[in-house]
Amino acid sequence: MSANETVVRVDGLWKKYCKSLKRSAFYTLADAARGAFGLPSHADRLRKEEFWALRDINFALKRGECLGLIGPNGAGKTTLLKVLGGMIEPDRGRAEVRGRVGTLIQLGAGFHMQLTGRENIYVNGAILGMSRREIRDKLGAIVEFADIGEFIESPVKFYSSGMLVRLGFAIAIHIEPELLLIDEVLAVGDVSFRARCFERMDELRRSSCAMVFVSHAMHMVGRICEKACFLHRGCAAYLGDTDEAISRYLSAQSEVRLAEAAGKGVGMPYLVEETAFQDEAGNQVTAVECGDTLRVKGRLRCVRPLGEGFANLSIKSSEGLVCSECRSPKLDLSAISPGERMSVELRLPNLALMPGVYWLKFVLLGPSRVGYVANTDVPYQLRVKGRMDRAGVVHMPHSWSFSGAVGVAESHGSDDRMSRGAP
Amino acid sequence: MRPTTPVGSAGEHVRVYVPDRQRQLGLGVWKEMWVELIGARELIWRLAWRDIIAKYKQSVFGILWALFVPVALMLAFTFLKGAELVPIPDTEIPYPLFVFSGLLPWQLFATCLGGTTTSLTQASDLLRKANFPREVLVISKVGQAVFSFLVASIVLAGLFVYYGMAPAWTVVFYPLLLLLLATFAVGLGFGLSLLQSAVRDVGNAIGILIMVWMLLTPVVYPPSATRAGAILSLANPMSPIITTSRDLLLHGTVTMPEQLAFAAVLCLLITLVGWRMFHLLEPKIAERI
Repeated sequence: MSANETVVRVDGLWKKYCKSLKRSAFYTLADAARGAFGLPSHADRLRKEEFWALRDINFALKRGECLGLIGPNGAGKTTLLKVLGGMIEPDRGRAEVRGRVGTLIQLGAGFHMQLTGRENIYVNGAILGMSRREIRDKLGAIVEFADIGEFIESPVKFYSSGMLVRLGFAIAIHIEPELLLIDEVLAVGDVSFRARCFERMDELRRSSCAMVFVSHAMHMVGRICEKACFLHRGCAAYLGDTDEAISRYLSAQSEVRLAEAAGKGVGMPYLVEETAFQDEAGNQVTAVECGDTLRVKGRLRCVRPLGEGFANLSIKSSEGLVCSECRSPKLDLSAISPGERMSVELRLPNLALMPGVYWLKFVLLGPSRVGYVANTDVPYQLRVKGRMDRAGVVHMPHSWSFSGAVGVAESHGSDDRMSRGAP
Repeated sequence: MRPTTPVGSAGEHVRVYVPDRQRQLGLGVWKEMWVELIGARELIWRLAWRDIIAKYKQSVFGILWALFVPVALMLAFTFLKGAELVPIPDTEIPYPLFVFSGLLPWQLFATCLGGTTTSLTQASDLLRKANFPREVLVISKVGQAVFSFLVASIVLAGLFVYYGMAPAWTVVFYPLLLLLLATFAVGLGFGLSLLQSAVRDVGNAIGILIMVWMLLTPVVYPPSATRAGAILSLANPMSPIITTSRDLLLHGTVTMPEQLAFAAVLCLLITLVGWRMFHLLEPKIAERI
């Protein structure tokens, strides 16, 4: 097997589901009847209450590569994993998978609650395609990896959910797959176990196992995958560079939130007519680098006079965390009459935000400092460029120095400056 | 699904997933079904083993439960006949032995049928998350039934000793008949388990069906030569199977050879059709269950 070999090839893959339980049963029977007489099933067109869960997905994955699948709930990520795992059949197109497939989808599925952990290893291993001999050979390694102590001899029903995941992962990871399908399972284990899982996944990748990784933790996707696919309503909205895929997904998510927020606050005393981001030189920007200076400009129109208030800019991360709020001193607005406009500019030097997508909301607060007094349905979203392989929102200015025989193997870019020499 | 066409020199396998794949195989699908079944025999054993230990692990009486149903039924019918509440014709051999030798294979059949029917819905979690030949879930249910059968055979041996009788030499063919019986149950199970995964009513109805079927089969009464009895022994494949099993065990003759041959052909046909349907719908099970 050559190192450059393609492990997965997906060509024009479509998959549909049926929303109605009764119709679904009827369609299954109708398709079966057609199949029994050698007729093609109605796989390639939609019948009543059917919808496409996946539309025209194309990609190829070579040995050692990792593809991240990201997208909102119901975008088709798990469906795609299941097609690759052979749990469900596509309705159009084809998927080709070379070699053994390991699936980490809902670990511990199929564990029998009355049996002990050890007994379940035998059963689950067999289900995942291990031979009796193979299981016997790897039993020690599996028990050691799961690291659940004496519980291995207790019935699985006495296990905590974390222990179930440990055992499930330990079994699945020891089948030595050529393709590993991972569906948001690592979220359950404790920190030390998660670290070991990633270690083991790295090992597998070095031994040229390809991976498809579904996660909502963007920094994990950024860390593990060299390419990613942003799925949206079954379509591959973007496929390629991981950072680009993540920021597109996060932008789309923010737009959804903005759309939800739109229209709220109609009839407020002020209307935000315009918000703009500018760099130091005054050029319009939508994306900045960490450490840049950002100028936020806003124009408001008075609808109803207001006595006093505050200008306020809140910065929210794509996950909804409020990173910071910038507030003006108390303003006297009594001289502005209806129809008149005011402009405001906020300067943020040395922007200390981690790469990602942020949602900036510029409003006026009333005298009591709670409650907006301005309409806010103008979308303003800011992208901070950079590698999205780290968690967090605040970028602490920092520099590294090391002593000993340490060299830089790979430089990340501007924000990981490292000074050489003895500290 | 799960085609395993060897590609390349290293014996690596490429799986290709396309819609309506089986249609392109033609009759080659039978070969694929067979290869898949043979490849999965270890998994069948493993699942059967799992069911057996899981069932008896947490119960106080343990494997004695395997005796409970046939022994209780034997005692009940012996009482009903003895008290002349139910007019069962006299049998050549002692009635308790007669009725038990019928109940034993019937119980095997009934346990197989009940187990296979719910085998898919019981494992719905697993079906959605792992890829393996779905047939194993159905077939492995035979294991538990055979285990109970073997345990209950101890009572049969006890009855032989009690009445000072010995089984006829033809008992050596007995396992063949059990194989036919189990194959038939699995064949029905293929169809019933699929139906059960589509409509859950099947699981509720199966208990009643088994009970009525038993009453229409000469399990607790000897086969009758009347017109109704003759029709039943042709229409109901279980009738010659149970009668022949008793013949082989006790009499050393086969009283219904033609009916048995007919039943065997019918059973095998049903099993093949069931298996083919199951294989055809297999890729759809996970998403519809």
